[in-house]
Amino acid sequence: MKNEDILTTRNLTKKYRKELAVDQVSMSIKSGDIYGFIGENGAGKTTFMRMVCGLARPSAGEMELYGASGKELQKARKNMGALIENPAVYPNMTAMENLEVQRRYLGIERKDSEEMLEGLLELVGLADVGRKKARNFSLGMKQRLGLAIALTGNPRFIILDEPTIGLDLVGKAELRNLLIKLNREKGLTIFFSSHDLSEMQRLATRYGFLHKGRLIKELTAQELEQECGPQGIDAEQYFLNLILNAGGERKK
Amino acid sequence: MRLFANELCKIKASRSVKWITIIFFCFAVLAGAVWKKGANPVEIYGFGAPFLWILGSGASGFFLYAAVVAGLFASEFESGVIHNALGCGVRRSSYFIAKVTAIFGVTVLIYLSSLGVLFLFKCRIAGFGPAELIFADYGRKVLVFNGWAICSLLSYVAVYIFIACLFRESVLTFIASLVVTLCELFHLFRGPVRIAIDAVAFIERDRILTPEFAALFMPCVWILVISLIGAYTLFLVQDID
Repeated sequence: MKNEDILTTRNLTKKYRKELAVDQVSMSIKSGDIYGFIGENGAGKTTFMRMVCGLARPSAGEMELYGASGKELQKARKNMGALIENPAVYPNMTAMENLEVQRRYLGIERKDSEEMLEGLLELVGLADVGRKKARNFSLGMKQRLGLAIALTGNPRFIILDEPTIGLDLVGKAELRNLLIKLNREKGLTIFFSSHDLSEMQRLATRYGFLHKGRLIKELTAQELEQECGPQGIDAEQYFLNLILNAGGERKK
Repeated sequence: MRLFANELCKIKASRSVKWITIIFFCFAVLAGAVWKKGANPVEIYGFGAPFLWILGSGASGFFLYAAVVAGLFASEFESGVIHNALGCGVRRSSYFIAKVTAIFGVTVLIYLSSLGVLFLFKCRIAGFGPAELIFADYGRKVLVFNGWAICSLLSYVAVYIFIACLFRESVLTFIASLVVTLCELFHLFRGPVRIAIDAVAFIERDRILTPEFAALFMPCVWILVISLIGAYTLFLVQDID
């Protein structure tokens, strides 16, 4: 459903001893969005995403995924895929076996799965190497296998943390085109992070700017253009100005 | 069941586990081939000495196997593959239980298989035969002895699993696990290995089927339970990096 809230957070916070890694982040991602989370290294993007995936427990705040919260969150994650940081694959297993592992985690019956898994490998361009062990894959191939794992089970929502890291220009373009295709054809909602603004601009329909754990600005791609235009600056300068002004400013 | 099947697939795919299992079976073949019947009361039973050798010997492949498997557990944190499971809705408790059950199951399977190999070679090469099986309650004694031996081995595996949940790095887990074993072998504390060696006296006095023999292994039971509770708690509570 269009405009359905897929992910909503209210004052989500993560504190490590005295350090606030994520500071009262309130945001929502709607169905069909390609939401780009941008911030410098150490801004808290990965920590936030890990909380959404259930890998880290929030210190405070609330989170809803498909309207579910609390103890129901883990069940709701069945309809979500994630690729956090480095692609996580079993090196001694083939690409197909890695997908089979994920299939079992999702509870998908074997008899329904072979076509789906082969289709996934084809989608990410690994159809020719499906029976080869993942330890022989390049970083780019592992990244694509990681994406295929995240897409197993046809999730409606996917989280990608720095998905283009380690990819060459061609690889980045292929991944970008694939994500756009999945968003347009299958309505896949994408929440991804990057510190490369130019890469993000080619993909995102909405942006969230994270600085020192705080969400300092949210705007759509059109709003970004409208804000940059009159000032005669590019998006990168706009973001840098946001950081400079971030001292006393929270997201309005 | 599907989580359990996944864990079995992962163990099966591990080259380290395959090699360690092969080494362990080679030890079993060797122990069976060199065994000689003698007048020693332990050897009259036909099985005590070699099995105790397997259990008590730091040179056996078994503890190495257990350390490798715990290292595999820890490597899932390192490599991030655990994210794939937890990020798609698998509960931490289910994941942990499936993994520990698979590790324990494979451990028992390897132990029992190597027992069978050892017995086979003893019968073929050293001439241990049916006549030796007529000792009173031989079958029960074999079951009881090996039941407790498995318990003591699983207690070690549980300690290694706890170490894996604590350190979450495969190399560190492997080293720490072996250090724990070596500490016991060098008498720095009394744990499952020393207990198993102390069990020899009970075999010599034909006191396997006594409450005292069972009581000897109670510390192993406690170690098993406490280690698993500790590992489970760590796994449930800590953030996954």
